[in-house]
Amino acid sequence: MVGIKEISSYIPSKRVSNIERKETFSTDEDFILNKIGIVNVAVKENNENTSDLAIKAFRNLEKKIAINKEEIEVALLVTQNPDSNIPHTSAIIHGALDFPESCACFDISLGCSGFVYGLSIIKSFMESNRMKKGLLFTCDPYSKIIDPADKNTALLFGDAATVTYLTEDPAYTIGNFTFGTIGKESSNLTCTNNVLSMNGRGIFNFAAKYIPVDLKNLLQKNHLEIKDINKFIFHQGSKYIVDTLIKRTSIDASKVIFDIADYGNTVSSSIPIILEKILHNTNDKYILISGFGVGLSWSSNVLINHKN
Amino acid sequence: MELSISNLKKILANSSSLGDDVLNFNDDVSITEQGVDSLDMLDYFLNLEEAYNVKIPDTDIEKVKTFAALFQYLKEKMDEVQNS
Repeated sequence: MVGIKEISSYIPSKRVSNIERKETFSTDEDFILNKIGIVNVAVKENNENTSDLAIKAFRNLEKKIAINKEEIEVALLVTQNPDSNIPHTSAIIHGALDFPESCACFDISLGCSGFVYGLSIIKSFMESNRMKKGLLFTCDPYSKIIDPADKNTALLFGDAATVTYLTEDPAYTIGNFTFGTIGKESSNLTCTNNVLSMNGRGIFNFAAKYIPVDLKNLLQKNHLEIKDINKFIFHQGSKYIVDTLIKRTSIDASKVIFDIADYGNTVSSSIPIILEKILHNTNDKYILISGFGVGLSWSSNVLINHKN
Repeated sequence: MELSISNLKKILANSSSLGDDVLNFNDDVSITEQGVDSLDMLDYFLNLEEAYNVKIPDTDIEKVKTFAALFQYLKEKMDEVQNS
């Protein structure tokens, strides 16, 4: 059964401090630390493109695990900020990394729910085509589209890339998924003329109303109870949204991870960056992941420790 | 929950990080000027929508800055629903 073998990420070293911008945005340190929960946002260099970040994530993966590139049969990229519209950025990554000609590549256009959707797509694609080794990249550098004067977005989003290596000998297998879309609310998070616009209230209401219900459906679909879950990794939108989900569910707060203070909300990379840190923790049997955002869409899954 | 200014304050006290301090807030002074931040206000409006089964559109947020204004606004909304 195809599952997650390893994950690697790349977070650019350049940071922009939210504390240093507090006067500009008429806010204070307490609000930045305890409500937004993001002290710095990571920002790529101007000459780095989406594919460059993804390639650096792959280089980091190669440092962790031996990979025979000739065996890679599929490489997918989740992004809504590609290098360009044509060609698909996964093909650029394919060329730069010298993957074999037999390797399938395509991009997936999703935002913060994209990693979880991507897991479902690559697992199904690999299993239906009897593939053994695949890569799921995420990279959505919002610094390309953020108006630095927009308080709603500039303090939140950071740049990063991840790559998840999927094999038939995984550390974690992948459980049943839930999905959803509220297309009528899609105008709450848009990009027009290359500038991101977010209605914070719309996104907050969406997450607070729909995700707790989705968690119940997800647990039912996986024949699990909330107490069975060892770790919860919600999309790391902000500390406030994660705290709100804890309040609106009966989740033990100590099982919920929030860890983006030093780099920000990295869209579809937010979940795999956290997952990478706990992937080989043998104490955890079940990890619940839930991504939600652009669309407005969501997808959730329970990952099952294959060696526990 | 019955609509009253006292209950409007209790709903905010239950969710805001300021807790019971909210119960002593002035009815006619802007809630944010009395110390409630913008994120707690988002949560508050959602809690009100759920408690009173009304929709408070973004365009009406400016109209409901004080507890007194909020009470009047919700009363009218709930009357509209009852009379429709």
